[in-house]
Amino acid sequence: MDMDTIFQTAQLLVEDMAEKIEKPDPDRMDVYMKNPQDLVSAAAGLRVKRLGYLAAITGLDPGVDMDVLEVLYHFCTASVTITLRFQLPKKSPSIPSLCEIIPGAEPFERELSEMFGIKVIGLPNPEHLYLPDDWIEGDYPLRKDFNRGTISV
Amino acid sequence: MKFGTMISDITASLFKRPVTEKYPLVRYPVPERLRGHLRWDPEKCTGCGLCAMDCPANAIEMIVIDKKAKRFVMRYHVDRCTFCAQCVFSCRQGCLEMSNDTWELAALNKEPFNVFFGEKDDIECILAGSTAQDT
Amino acid sequence: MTNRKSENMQANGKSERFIVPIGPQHPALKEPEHFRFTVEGEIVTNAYVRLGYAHRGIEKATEQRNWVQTNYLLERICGICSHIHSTAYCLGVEKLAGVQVPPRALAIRTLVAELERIHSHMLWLGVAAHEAGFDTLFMYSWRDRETVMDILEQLTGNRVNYSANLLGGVKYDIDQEIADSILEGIDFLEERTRHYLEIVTTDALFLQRTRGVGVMTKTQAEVMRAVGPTARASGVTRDIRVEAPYAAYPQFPARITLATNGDVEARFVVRIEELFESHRLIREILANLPESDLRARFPRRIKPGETIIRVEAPRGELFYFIKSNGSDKPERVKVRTPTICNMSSVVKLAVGHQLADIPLILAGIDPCFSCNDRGVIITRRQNKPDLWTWEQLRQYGIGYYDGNNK
Ligand code: SF4
Ligand code: SF4
Repeated sequence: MDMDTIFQTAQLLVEDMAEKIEKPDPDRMDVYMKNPQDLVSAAAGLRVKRLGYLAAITGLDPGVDMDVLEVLYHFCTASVTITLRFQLPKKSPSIPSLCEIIPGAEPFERELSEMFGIKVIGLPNPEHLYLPDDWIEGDYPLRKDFNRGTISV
Repeated sequence: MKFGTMISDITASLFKRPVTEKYPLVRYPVPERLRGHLRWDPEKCTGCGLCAMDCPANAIEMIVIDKKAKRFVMRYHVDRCTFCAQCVFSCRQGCLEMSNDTWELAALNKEPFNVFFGEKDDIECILAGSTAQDT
Repeated sequence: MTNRKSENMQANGKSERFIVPIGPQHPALKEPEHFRFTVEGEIVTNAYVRLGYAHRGIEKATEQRNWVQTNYLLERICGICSHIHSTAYCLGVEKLAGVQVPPRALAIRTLVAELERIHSHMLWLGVAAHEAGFDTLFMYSWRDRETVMDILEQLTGNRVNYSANLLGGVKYDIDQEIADSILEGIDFLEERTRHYLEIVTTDALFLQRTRGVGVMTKTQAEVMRAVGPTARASGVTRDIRVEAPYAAYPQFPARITLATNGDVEARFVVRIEELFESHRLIREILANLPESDLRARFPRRIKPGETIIRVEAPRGELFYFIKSNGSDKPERVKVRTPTICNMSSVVKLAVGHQLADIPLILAGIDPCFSCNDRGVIITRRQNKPDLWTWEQLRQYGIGYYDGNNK
């Protein structure tokens, strides 16, 4: 499959669920999704069409004064990366789990939920992956407001 | 399928000397590019502080006593240095280099890890200031 | 106490099921992690892994360093594949800043990356042979590995954490003398590698430990998203050097190495054959080293933007996501290391095997726990309600040592 076919197929697949589609680099496609509930169907669609495997899940905190969190799902095929981007409200962020269709997503989702406090609905094992078991609830290290001079250099 | 595929290696080694280096007894020559203790050439330094800004380990402090008279003292924390040579490449004046002969830096106390580079008077001036602060 | 003991015995008497905890001080691998294997007799029926013991807060710490300093921090994610982390970061940041890196610098980066692959694979060969109880192979392969370590030291000045990369280029050039000693070293290594390939494919006792053990089929490898040599040993064509060439790989194309069996033996064969590929690439790069500068000027601040960069580390695909907000510090650096992908496959593969085979299956993916665990760790327990500041921690440390010295 060459790059253009991949992009075209992916575009057809997610067009209805997307708010906008951007191509920041020749080998990248960023899909801004409307609704977090569409994640599973979009990912399933990509899998059925053999458009990549889930390479990583990135959480982003755009800033202390913004009331959203961003979650990026990167799917890679050959040199192409298709990224599904979701915006979640910071107050009660939640997103469905991909473990049903992509079992390997589990460590990524556990990391996402402990580092950003995003509730992953349907995660088979929601325990901490990296953080200590007795880490205080409601304290999310990769959010921008977590600083407090604890690791100043 | 074979047995004892490494017997030949073992028998050959029986007649060779050990490959282990006898380091503290014999000092082998080090490669030319080995990165050891930092050296500073005060002549060319403009006190720009780029080296201190880029050091990943905060191992360099540029203390400016008098910018016009070009009186700078460089405080080098050898124990923090990761010997990455970023400072050498950050400096546009080429004042810094890493020596390849001073690399046995272990010590039993902290004194040798706190190095001041610069004019003698300037260093004394700084040291007097810092002890006044400390006490 | 006695009560609990008898309870345990009862429970075990009923189901004959034991949980064998291994780690965090792992007896075989020199890195901390914790496994719990449920066994029935000799057979493992369930496996569980707990990570995070080597979690150092690197992703968070990048937010507090400038672009230059971050390079060295990321280089220290892993001591074995350090150069590839720094290469991925530099390539990404250079793409963000729109800086053209001179071709000679790219070629030297690639050369160091291949030397690093040799050193990493030979290290793995030793470790895996040790897990299989073949210590002779372990000793000899590590003796020969010194050759490539010496080459790296001669080229960059350090045996590990070479710091060869600079944003915008590389630090060290290759002159004729160094090129000659690299070629000489590679000739020796190639001969030895051929010998090792023969050993791992013919030694009868060794094959009993590796052939048919820990088989992962192609479909399994695809579903569990294995990467790197682990995936290639199961016949999955996944090698970023080939699929999406970066740095100097467009000029010096790499060939993919595949095996089909998917067992531990195949993982040995794939890695050793990759060594030959690395030898070939190094010779080719040295013969056709482009002439140019070594460094391009690099801005201190980088315009806002996001980039994704994927490279092939010795253990598999390494994924970086870098976001800049226009300042002199990165806004977010996300690192996805290869071991985290391969780890889930190991946990699934372990089921159904004998407990004695587990170390070898585990070693088969070449796990690297320090690259697995990045992120945040701060001294904090529920009985100590306050966060410790850096200064408090320092004072605590000083007090601790003073108390011990008295
Ligand atoms: S070598 Fe690296 S760590 Fe040492 S002073 Fe220079 S920049 Fe800092
Ligand atoms: S970068 Fe060079 S010129 Fe600037 S302060 Fe450091 S040593 Fe002096």
